[in-house]
Amino acid sequence: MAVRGETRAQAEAASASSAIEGLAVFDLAGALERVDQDRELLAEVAGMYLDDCPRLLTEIAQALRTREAGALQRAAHTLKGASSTVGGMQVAALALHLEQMGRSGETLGALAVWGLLSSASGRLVEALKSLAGRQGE
Amino acid sequence: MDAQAKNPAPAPGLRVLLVDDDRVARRLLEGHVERLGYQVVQAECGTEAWDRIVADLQIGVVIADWMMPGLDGPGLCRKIRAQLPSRPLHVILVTARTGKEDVVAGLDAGADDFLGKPCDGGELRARLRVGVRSVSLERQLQARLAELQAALAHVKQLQGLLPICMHCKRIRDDRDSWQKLETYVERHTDATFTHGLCDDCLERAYLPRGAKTS
Repeated sequence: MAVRGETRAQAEAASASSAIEGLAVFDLAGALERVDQDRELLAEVAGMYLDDCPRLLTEIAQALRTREAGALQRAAHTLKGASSTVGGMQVAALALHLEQMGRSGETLGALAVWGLLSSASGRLVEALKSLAGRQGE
Repeated sequence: MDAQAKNPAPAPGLRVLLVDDDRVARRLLEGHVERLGYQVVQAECGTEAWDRIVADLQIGVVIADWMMPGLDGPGLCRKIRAQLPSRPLHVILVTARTGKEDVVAGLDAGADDFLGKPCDGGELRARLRVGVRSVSLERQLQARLAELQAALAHVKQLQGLLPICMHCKRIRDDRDSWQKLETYVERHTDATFTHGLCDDCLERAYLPRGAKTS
């Protein structure tokens, strides 16, 4: 069982990393297109994202710890929506992966996806900080 | 840029309700919708949205996220269609789900249209225009229907049995008072009398005996 579980976890991690291959950490052009090139609005939305992202990540981590599939699905869904809005394509793809795991109740390998999500969101946050004029925070 | 000034209210008296538990998505939608000149109302979940819809009759278009904690998008649609069947409301579900089954489930719940997620400004504008057109037409139709019903109620008052005095031709109204025929008809229709004199009466009452009108 342990071996099968491990294999499954590795497979999930591999599928998650291939899912973000070629995706931008931060797609500025796409984000600008979604706000009709309104940089001011994008900076405001980026600021909101920076405020909300830590809470959503904490909720996801909590759900993974307590193995609550429903909570994982909800938090990952919200993070997916917010991330795709601001142009965080990798975070959005990884959050989708976790959302689907939450929906199916099959969270094996979720920790590996979580590792990828943490690093992608760290890079996205840095990019958004400069956009929102929050460097040095 | 003053968006409101650039685009004066395209449909006066129509508000757009945005429903999403994610404020980032809500702010983005708000930016787009306000830029088009519409007034925006917001709600964080389906339950709050329902309260706003009931309280604010100017809300004509609802753009709601599919997945929300508590009452979700399809749940909100079902509640609207079940409890407000004659209210002109165009409901657009925001979702990344594009599968046939999801579309059918959304339409079955009572949604009118779908908007992809993350939302694209061009798509939002086009779908919002469709919604506003449909709600405006439905509102006009309802107003016209109400006018017609009022007119019909008016006409019906002159149908049926009217008690009339066989001598002075006054009519007895529903309060048992006898009214002059002109007064009664003017009060119950849009007709107005102009007074004249027919030849017979002119001859009988106004001319010297023996004189002829022509």
